[in-house]
Amino acid sequence: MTPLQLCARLERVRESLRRLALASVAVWATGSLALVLLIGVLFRVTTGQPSRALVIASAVVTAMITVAWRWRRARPRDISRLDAAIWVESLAPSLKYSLVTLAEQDRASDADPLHRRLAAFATQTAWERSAAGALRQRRTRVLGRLALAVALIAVAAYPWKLRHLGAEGNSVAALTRMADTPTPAGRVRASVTLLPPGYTNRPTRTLAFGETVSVLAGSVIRVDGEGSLVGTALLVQESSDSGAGTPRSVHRAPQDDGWRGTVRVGFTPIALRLRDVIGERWLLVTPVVDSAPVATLLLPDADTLVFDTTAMIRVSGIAHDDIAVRDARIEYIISSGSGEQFTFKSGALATTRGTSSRDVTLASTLDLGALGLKPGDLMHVRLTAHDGNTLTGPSLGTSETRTIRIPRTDARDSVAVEQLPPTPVDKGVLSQRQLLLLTERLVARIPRIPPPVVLNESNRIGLDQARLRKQLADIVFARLGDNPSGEHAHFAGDGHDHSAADLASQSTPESVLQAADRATGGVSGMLDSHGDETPVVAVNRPLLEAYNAMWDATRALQGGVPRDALEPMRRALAAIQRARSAERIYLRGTPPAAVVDLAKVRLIGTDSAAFEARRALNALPAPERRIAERVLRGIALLIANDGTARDSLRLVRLDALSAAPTLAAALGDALEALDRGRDATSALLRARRLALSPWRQGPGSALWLGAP
Amino acid sequence: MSDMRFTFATVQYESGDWDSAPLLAANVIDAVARYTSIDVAPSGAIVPLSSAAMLRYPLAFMTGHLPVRFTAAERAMLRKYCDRGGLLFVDDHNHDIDGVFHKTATEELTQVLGPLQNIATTHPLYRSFFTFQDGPPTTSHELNGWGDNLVHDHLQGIERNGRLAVIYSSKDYSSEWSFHPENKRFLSVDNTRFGVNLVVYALTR
Repeated sequence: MTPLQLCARLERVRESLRRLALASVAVWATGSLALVLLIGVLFRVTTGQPSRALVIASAVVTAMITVAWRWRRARPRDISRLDAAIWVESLAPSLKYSLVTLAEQDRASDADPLHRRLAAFATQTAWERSAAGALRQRRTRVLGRLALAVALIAVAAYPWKLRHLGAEGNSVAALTRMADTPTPAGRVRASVTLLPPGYTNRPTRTLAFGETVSVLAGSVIRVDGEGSLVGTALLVQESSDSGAGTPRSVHRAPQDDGWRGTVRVGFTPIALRLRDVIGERWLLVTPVVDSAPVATLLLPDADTLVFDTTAMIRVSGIAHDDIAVRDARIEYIISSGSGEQFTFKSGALATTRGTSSRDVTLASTLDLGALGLKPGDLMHVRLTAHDGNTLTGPSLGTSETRTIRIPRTDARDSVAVEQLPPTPVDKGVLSQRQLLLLTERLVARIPRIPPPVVLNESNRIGLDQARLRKQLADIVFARLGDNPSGEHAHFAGDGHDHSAADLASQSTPESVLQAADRATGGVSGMLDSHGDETPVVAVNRPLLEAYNAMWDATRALQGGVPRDALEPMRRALAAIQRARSAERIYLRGTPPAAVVDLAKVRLIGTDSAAFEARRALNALPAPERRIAERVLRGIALLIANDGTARDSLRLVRLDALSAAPTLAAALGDALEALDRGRDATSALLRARRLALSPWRQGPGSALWLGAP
Repeated sequence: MSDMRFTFATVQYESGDWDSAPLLAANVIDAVARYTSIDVAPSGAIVPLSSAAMLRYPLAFMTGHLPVRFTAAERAMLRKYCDRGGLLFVDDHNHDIDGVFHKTATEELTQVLGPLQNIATTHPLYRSFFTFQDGPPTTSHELNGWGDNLVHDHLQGIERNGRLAVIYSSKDYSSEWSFHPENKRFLSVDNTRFGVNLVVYALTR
């Protein structure tokens, strides 16, 4: 064999080695891809994670990394003729580097004697057979490994071939097609049973994977599987507002020849997933919530006003529930009283219990007389119903409430009473405590000051005591509903001059009690009575006691005996304190529109009151003044001497005819009324007003013609 | 009147005597004006519970002695009012947990909004303006032994979105605060200060 022929054969060996190196890289890549896919599939079968895309991506990335690594290590493109010669020399050591030496030559030549000698030596050795055998073995090994890797990939990908029908489309049709598919060998047999909540008394029902079912919330879904737990998984996946949640494994208990897992349906849709080595089957479950009963009151159909307390009123209603109405009743509440005092009683008219019907009708009759209703009472009637939900209930359904009102006999006579703000405080009045302190101080000074000074100071304190008593009387009269100023303009001990008859009739404690008596319906002896007293007197009692005590104190002070005034003054102070802490009475009526003076409350108010400048009144001219005086005297005389008064007024009218025709006309009307025996008050008032007005105007001014 | 003013609203409901504390509104308004710079309307408003006008008032006051039975429209509006940030202050004018107002009002509130829970004495409500270390201030009516003869330590409430949507009181602030505000000058301590806390809480939470 010539050197050139030898080199050509060595070149073929090099080419075979390069192909084997490439095939080895492919085997590594395929093997790593198959390995990662297999691991991912096993995880998905057992736990449901990770996703298919993640598994594939991981496998591809791993394969690419492996290719890079093996390419860098094997370097198929870098295999040279020398590398092939060295590989051959390793198989046939008898070559004694003749082949390597020949391969090292840049250009082999048949003419070169060294090359010919090397070729002749290498030809004597049977290296080609050894190399061909080694190449065949390596080729077989690589192909075998490649086939194994491809087979692993096929195994890993097989479950997806079925499952992508449901998983990718996630449609009920796909699930149904899958359920209709004949069970392949190796698929787990499982039966699904629906157990409704016990209170519904509904029978159990058989379900199948691939269905979409609506079940009552609280139901239990039981899955009975055959065979071993290994290689299968029962998962439940809850739906939420943000999409499907993470699947979680359902606990399964081993049975005689299989296993059993149960899932309770809550208030969110779920997907029940049974996974085995073949694939996955789904059962979609949507919960139906047990609704509360719907109660409707048919009669009375509106709020009612009933004047007859012995009337009979029909009451009826219906209740409906989606499962069953367990009990229903028509209940009532009767409210009696007013203000702060209310009493209540309640009861039921018609009751049904333990029904299993979805619709219940109730009817009864309200006997107002038997219920003891009185005028002023208020009755609320409604229908209530419960269902038998023992899981989240029982749910209550109520109807609209109807009101039956028995009006009070005096309902139309009542008036709205609004609470008034307190009267402004008279800061010029000394308080009872201040008066007491002044009196005690005066009593302490009596040994050191002369009696006239004692009398003078005692009278002065007595005057202040009387003023305070007047303030108290105003409050008492206001509370009793009388005119606060109606007591009188003067009062005993106020320093003014009035007759004894006035004092006796207007300013004594008895007069105040009489006012209270009138205001409270004629109950006498209030101060001595503690039972059956009216609220008005009960509230005013402390003030009346203070009023009495002040009266005693005033008399003692004005008598110049301040020592005797101390005890009643202390009693008055104690009574005022009791009145301050007395309980309040709330009067109901139309809610007053109380408006808060915000500026005043926040102390930012300004005195914005505008007063019109006062103008001095001009005195009447002399002739007019004389006419006016004659008119007033004539009117005053009407009471004592009617005839004389009429004559005087006629003379005045005569004098006024030319100068003051309107006054003359008014007097004429008054005289005509008097002559005919009619009421002349309005005409006399008009005449008096005209007489007192400046009816003679200045030059250029229009004449005032009096009131229209 | 500007719409931005705070207006104290009294809830008018179909059943019962919703108007049993007519002067309470003026008193709370007076307290708000006296202690704060809140732009407040000088008089209160009366708003039907079933009306959409409820949504104009951040704080609504409800009281009564008689049974409370909401209509369907009232229930719907109450639910919407609380979900949208309103604060309903309910006070039992009977101050009696065995009374019919308490039983029916709590039943209705529970049915519409869920169960009432005790409000802790450390709740921000008691520190929103004045500080009430011991929780809700007592009223003279419960101290005098009226009603259920109990001094209630807690108010109750229902929360929505981390804030109180309903405050329920058995302490009878309706009687305690229903007097003419001019009479406050006779009080050594203003007993309507807690009303300011209610208003500030409703406006800031």
